[in-house]
Amino acid sequence: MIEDVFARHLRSGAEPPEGLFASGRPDRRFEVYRNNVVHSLTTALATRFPATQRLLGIECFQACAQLFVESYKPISPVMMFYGDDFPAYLTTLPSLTNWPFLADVARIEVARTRAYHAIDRAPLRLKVGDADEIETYLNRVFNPHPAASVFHSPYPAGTIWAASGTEEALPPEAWRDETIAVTRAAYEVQVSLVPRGTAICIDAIGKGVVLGEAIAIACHADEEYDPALILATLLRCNLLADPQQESDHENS
Amino acid sequence: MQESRPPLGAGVSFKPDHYEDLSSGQVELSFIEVHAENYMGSGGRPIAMLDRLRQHYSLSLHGVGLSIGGEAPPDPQHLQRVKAICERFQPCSFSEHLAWSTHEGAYFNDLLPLPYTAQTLGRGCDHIDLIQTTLKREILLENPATYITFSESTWTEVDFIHQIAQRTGCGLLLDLNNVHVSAGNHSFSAQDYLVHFPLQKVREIHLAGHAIEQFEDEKLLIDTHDRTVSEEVWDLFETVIATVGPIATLIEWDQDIPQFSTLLADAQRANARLTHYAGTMVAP
Repeated sequence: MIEDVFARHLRSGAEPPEGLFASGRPDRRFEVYRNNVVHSLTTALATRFPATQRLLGIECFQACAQLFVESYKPISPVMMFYGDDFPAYLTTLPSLTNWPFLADVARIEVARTRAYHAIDRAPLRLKVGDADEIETYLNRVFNPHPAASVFHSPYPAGTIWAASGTEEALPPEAWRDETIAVTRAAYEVQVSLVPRGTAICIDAIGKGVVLGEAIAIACHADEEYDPALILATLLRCNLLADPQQESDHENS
Repeated sequence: MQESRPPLGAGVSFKPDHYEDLSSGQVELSFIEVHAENYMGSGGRPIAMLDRLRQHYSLSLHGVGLSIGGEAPPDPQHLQRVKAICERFQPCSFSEHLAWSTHEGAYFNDLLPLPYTAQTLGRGCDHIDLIQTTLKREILLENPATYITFSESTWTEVDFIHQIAQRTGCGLLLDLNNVHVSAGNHSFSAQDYLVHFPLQKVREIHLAGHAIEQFEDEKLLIDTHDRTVSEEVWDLFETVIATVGPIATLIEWDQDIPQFSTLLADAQRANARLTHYAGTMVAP
C-alpha cells in the first residue's frame, strides 16, 4: 500500500501524504526522491539525445524531457533503450511545430543507440569484380545487419544531425529530403546519407525477398535509381549481415 | 549455490571513460564492478570492453533493477536478463539493493525506501529466495541510503537486514557511505549501527562520496557518488576492518566522473588500510 501511495505522489508532484513518514520534514525529504527520479530520467534522455539537446538548447530540451518523463516511465531497468518513443513524442509538442525536422534527428539518435548495442555480426563482403559471385548472391536471401536501420526523412535530418556536432552549426545549404542509414563498422556507429531506394530495398530484404528482387523493387519505386548504386550502398554501409557468420552463431 | 565474494583488496566501479587506463591490466586492483543493467545490450563496444577487462581483473556485477523491496516479485524478464549476464560474465559476485524501483510495470530509476515490517520482511526474503534459486548463486544485499523513515516500521534497519541474511542465506554488501548518509539524515549514530550490524556476513564494502545540503533548520546528506570519500566514511571503514579484518572494498563513483588517478587514489588509500589489517596481504 505504501508503495502505491509513494509511487502516486512521485508521479503527481503532490505533497507527500501526512502520517506516512517518521523523520525530518517529509516534504523536503520526499522531494529528494522526486528530484532523483526526474533528474535520472532526464539525464538518461540527454545522454541518448545529445544532438537534439544541442539543437534545442539545454533549457528547452530539459523542459521537453520532463514532460516526456511525466508521461512515459521506463518499462525496464535497461535504461540504454529508454526514450525510443521520445522522437514521436516531440511531434506532439505544440511549441515545436516550427521544428518539424527535430523528431527525425532524434530518430537518428535512437538508431545510433540501437546500433551501438546490437549483437556483433560481420557484414556481408563481396569479392570485387567477381561477377559469378555477385550473380549467386543476387539470388539469395539475406538478413539486414542487426545494427542497421535505414529511414527516409522529408527534411535534411542527417545533415542537421551531422552539423549539430560541429562548433558552428549552420543551416543546411539545400533544404531537401534525405534517406539516412545508421549502422556499425566493428564498434563504431556510422551515419550515412544513402539513395532513397536503399530504405525500400532494406525493407524488402527484411521481409525475406531475395537480394536481386529487393534491389529491383527499390529501383521500380523510383526509376532514377541505379541497381548497381543500391548494391554498392548496401555493401559500403554494412547494411547486410554475413550469412556465414549468422550460421556459425546459430550452430555454436 | 555459487558464492558471491569479491577478492580481498580494493576495487573501483568501472566507467567507460577509464577504459584506456585499465585495458592493459597494469593498474593494481583486486576487482572492478559495473552496474549489470548497463551491460545488457546484445553486443558492441560495452561488452567487448568488459571481456577485455575480465582478462585482467575479477568482475563484480551490481544490479539496480530487481526491486527486491517491492510489493511485486522481481520482473521475470529482468531476472532472466540478470541470469544471462551472470552466465555470460561469470562474476565473482552479484549484489543488489534493499530498495524498490519498479511499481506496476513502471521503472523509476532510483532506489526507493521501504518500511521495515513483518510483511515487507517476508516479501523481501521471498524475492531473494527467487533470485538466488534462479541465478543458482548467493547474492549480496546492500543497505540503503535513505531520506525518510516510515511510521509503520517495526524493525530497525540493522535487525531487518540481519533477519534477511539469516533466512535467505544471502551475503551482505555494507555501504559505509549509505550508513553515514542515513545516520546524518535520521540522527542516529553510525558507529552504533555498525556495532549491531552482522559484520560477519559482509563480503564487500562500498565507499563513496556524498553531497550536503544545508537548510536553515536541518542538514540533508545526499548519496551522490560524485566526489571523493569523506573523512567520516573513512573513519567508519577503519572501525569495520579493525573489528573484523580486511574485506573486499569498492570505491564507487557514478557521476561527474573524475580522472582515473583521482579514483585510484581512493582505492589505494583503501588498499593501504586493508593491507595494514591483513599484516602481510599484498595487492594482487
